[in-house]
Amino acid sequence: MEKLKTSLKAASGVFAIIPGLAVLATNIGVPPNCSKVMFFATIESFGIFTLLLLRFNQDTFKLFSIKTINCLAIGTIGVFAFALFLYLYLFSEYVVEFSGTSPLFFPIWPQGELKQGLATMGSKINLVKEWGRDDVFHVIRSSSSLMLTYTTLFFLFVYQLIFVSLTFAFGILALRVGETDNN
Amino acid sequence: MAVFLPGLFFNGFAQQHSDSVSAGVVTTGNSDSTVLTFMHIKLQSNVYTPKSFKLSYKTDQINWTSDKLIPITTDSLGYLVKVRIPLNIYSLHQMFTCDAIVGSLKWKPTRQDTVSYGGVTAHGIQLELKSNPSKAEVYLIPRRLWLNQIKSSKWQQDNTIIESFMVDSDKTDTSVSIDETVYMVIFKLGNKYLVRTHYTKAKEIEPIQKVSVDF
Repeated sequence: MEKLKTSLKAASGVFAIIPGLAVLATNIGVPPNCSKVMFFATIESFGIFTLLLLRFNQDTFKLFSIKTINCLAIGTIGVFAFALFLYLYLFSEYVVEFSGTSPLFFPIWPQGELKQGLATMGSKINLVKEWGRDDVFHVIRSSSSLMLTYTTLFFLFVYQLIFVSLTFAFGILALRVGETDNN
Repeated sequence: MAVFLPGLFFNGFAQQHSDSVSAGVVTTGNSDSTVLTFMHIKLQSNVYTPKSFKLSYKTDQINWTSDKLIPITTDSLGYLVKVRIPLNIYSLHQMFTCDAIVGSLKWKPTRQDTVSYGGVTAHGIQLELKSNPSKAEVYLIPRRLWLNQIKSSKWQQDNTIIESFMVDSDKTDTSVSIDETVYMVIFKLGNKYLVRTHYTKAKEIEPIQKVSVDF
């Protein structure tokens, strides 16, 4: 049981620390033209914050019934699955890739000329085909820069939620295992 | 002086020009050659009202500053300017520094001043423009502007609508440097116009692209 507790604690720590470092090293999951350092710092901060929250509130969590702990763990795994699927959907929908050139990052809420262009052309791919990749890039920047910032923040929120939920789920189970041992 | 955020980006096309060679032949490594470049300069703040711009490139060996660049037009992407850049500098793919010459500071409307306006990296795809017979005028218009502003206008009757987009004073056969934007290429020979759409491919896929017409 002690080994299991150690393994769960290690898993919780890994999910808090490693994803941020992986982002920093490989740029994985970071939308084009976004700062990987910002994604790294946010994921690390929220991961460590979750670990500290678990550590400082372990006595409170130990007062919870086993059923409550199970519900919390299963719930956060559900949040993980939801955040993962949502992020994959967002990435495939708003990061448009082309052969031989850099991908484009579209805002979720287009404005002005970009909104008009998308409505006329029908899709992001058609817009890029008709206007050209560089022209669309500049139109995104000129007409929807604020919305692009909000989109980046939304991506960041969902991305960190993937790892924070895993950290929390494994961390709270480690407390649960420790509590069982003590009993 | 207030801090001014970099607000310049490159968007347009550039014509390679050399007095020492015939039109359409691109010369590299010749310091006399220049590249005609169209750029959009985006205004980041409403504090200043830029009247004109200057580009510069300075290293230990090179000290180049453009002429005063007066915007041709303003659209959603910013101020459109036309600048000749020496080919030996342009081919370095380096960043140019931009200064805005400010006409009116809100708190001191009579003062002329120069403010730092960020930088731009020039990099292009070579587009060869050919016609048969040669000596046709060529205009390059981003397809977005064409669809939104020019297509429905009487541009064939009123040439001033498109004259800002003319590929300098050279005529076909010639060669320009463009970015990855879809362009409408208009050839004019006498009173006859021919319009072609050029779907620009990525530089990595096709670094030299061609549009040719027969009148």
